[in-house]
Amino acid sequence: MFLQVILSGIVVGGIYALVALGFVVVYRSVTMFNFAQTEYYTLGGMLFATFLARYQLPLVLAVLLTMVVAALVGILSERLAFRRLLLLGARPANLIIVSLALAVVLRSVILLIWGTDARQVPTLGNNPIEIAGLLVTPQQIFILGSTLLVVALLHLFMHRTRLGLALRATASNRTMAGLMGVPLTSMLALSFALSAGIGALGGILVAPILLAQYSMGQAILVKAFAAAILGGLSNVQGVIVGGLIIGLAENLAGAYLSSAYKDVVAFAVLLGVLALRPSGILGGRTEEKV
Amino acid sequence: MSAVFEVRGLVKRFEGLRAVNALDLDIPSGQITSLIGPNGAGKTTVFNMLSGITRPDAGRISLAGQDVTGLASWQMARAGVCRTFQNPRLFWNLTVRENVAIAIQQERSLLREMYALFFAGRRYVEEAGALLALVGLEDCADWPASRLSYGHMRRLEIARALAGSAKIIMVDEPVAGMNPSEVDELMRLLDTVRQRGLAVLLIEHNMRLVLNISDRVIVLSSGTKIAEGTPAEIRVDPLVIEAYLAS
Amino acid sequence: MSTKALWASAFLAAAMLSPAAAQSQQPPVLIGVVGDFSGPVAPYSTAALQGAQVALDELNAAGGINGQRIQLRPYDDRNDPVEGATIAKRLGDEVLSVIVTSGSSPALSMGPVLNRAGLPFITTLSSNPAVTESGWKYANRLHLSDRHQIERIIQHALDTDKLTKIAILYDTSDLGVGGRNIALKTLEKRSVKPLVVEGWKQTDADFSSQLIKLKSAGVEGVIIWGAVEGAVRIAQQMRALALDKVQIYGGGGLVSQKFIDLGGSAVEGTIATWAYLDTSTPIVTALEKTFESRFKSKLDIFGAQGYDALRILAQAISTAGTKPSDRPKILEAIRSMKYQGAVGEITFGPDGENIRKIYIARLKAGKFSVLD
Repeated sequence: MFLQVILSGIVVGGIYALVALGFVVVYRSVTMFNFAQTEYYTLGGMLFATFLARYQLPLVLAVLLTMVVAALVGILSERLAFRRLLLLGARPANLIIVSLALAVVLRSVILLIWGTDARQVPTLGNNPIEIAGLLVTPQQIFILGSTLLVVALLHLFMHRTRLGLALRATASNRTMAGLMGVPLTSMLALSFALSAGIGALGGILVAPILLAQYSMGQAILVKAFAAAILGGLSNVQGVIVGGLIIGLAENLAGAYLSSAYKDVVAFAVLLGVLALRPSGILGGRTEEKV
Repeated sequence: MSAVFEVRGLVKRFEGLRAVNALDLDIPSGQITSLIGPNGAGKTTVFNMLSGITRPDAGRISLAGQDVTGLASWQMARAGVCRTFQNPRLFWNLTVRENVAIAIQQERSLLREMYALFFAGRRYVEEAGALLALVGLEDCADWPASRLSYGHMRRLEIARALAGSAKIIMVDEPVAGMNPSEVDELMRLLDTVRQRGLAVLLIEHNMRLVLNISDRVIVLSSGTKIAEGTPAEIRVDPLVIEAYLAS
Repeated sequence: MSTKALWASAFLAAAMLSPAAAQSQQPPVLIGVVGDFSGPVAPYSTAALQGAQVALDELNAAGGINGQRIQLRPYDDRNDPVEGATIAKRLGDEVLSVIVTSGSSPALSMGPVLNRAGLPFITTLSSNPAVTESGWKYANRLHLSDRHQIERIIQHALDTDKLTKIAILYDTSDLGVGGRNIALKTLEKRSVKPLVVEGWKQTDADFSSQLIKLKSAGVEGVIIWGAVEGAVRIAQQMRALALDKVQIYGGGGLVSQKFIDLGGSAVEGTIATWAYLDTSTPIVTALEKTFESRFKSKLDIFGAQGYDALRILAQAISTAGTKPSDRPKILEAIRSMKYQGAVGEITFGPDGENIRKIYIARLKAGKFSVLD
């Protein structure tokens, strides 16, 4: 039983991490929380459901198309909601309010297009396979595999490519990056496209087990946010650890205490970690020398 | 010697005050031009306009014959303008090597950028390594920039400025806070840059340095050019002496 | 405005103008129909209003109530409890009696107001036990209450399926918690101790910690009380933990196309109570035809209950009288009648709860059918 609890904690944690990753990608480059992040996740679920079930597209095409559309919505959000404020150097509080407003707008659009009904999305497989006494479904393996793959790809992208370097430079010092010839506006668009694409992938992965519904983003917002904070906000590996901790904490609490304590324990862990390490578990120095 | 920068009638007002007033400048390549003047003369404002950080209110800036007036800083950088700041401004959480690599000319089109993304990553790393060797920082290439000493930070800034297709390097008070041996080191480095055929524009208060190294000196006072000439001419210019005494 | 809402308002307008002609010079007997005609519950409320409309025309064609014609007055509460309470305050002056086709939340906000005004009312949609258990003398229900459904499903699980290892999963809404409490009490009466009792939030995504408990306790049957989406997720995740042999029991909410579509093969075999409409009786066959031709829609249990509700009121009023002062007598008449209508044979208990057969259905090959 214990190992089974751990396993499902890891799977849930992986989803939290994936959504939190979207928070982090944007936070790193513009030091703001985009609370509309989880709406890209919802959008991912809904689009995927539509492409797969309604238009009968092949799986891979549906995944790619969903991520591309979500990325475009990410770019649009940056262009229409944030760019002016970011270029004017608006205060973080103002950006947060705008992102909350954007979340409401996106949710309303999703509601207009898809309504309130939940949609069923075919899974890759929901019949468990027994591995060393543990039950795992193909869909769970797919979720974990994709999360790991995305984290690895993102890490490579950030540290092994010019664009990734440009993104990190922009995150480190926007003015200087401009002086180095890094076009700020493209970097902003790129961050939002990346985070929306990753968020949508989260939606794609969970839709088959949780149903795609307009409210799915709101449901995961607080947990993903907590995972991002716990991970230290600026660090890809940290987010994975943060997501896993939240996922494991709530699953262990649910299994050994009562499901009524799932959230309580998850947030108690968050508060405890922040009390001991205010910058998160793997939170590096976020210093900005003058 | 052709002028890299040709500036005509440059004006910048701050709250009605003319910080820079109808300034004409010619910065030739392969030479070190120094911009001096008392505090508040408008030197840094000129730098900010030439590097695209501030938009001029009037006037025209051309770079190698092209009108670049009012371009954004990243466009200026791509056109070949590099600058340093009074306090070293580096990407503290990137490595020394990455600090240089980021400055190497970006690809101009998205398609080329995508190509570079997948196939040319190493090229930038190698180019960055060569530049680091030039300024003597190859041993700390993989350190985070925040670990460098002050003098090394300056050198890193220069290496970064040399990266890619820079036509002009603008250096803002590079020796402030340096010890004499570090100053000598830096003077040699600036000389190397000049020999590579680049234009160097220097803001500096240290007169010994300015008069030793410069090919030409331009003196600003209250946003207006009051003198221009070789170090020898400037040394004896009565207007210059008066401006410095008055402040 | 959605098409649905447009239709609903067009229908409202038509109902208000209903030209059931001036049968006599006497003032009409006014019956209020409160419901959500433009919000999330609109499909159910509208079906009930349509059913009442059919009954109205039949009754008026047969001479109304002792020669006095009947008129329906619809009120839209938009599924908003505050709106419901506001409407309820007006009803005492405006109508003789009320059919409440609202969802539980406005129905419960209307209850005390209607009761204070001494207005006999019949609810046709809410299954919340509070409707008949809050001491509202004038309340009557013509729908399955959660209490009866849970007692019935537990009886089926223990007596018919002969299971003893039972778990309860409930969502933490009023509905879910209410259901859990009833289930616990019912099991206690039968001296059965549930092995697992766990809740879930409607936003919860992952049920593995609850389900792993089911697994290690060796549960044979689980009563799932909550919203359809949650029940579907639970069923799917039960399958992922190889719990597909565990029998799922649920309430009437699960007997819906939505549950079948969303759940797919994971919900196959689900057993639930069912507000079943026997379509073989002549009265239902006729009603189905009328709905088809008049509203271009398929008759469902809510339409049938709306139809029956008005007929019950009309029958009660015809014996008691049409003056506001006759209202206590109307209530008495409702409680003492034995009514045979579209949904079968109905009587009302002293608390206003309808007493009727509760069917048990099982989902087999993508279709619910009556098991018992």
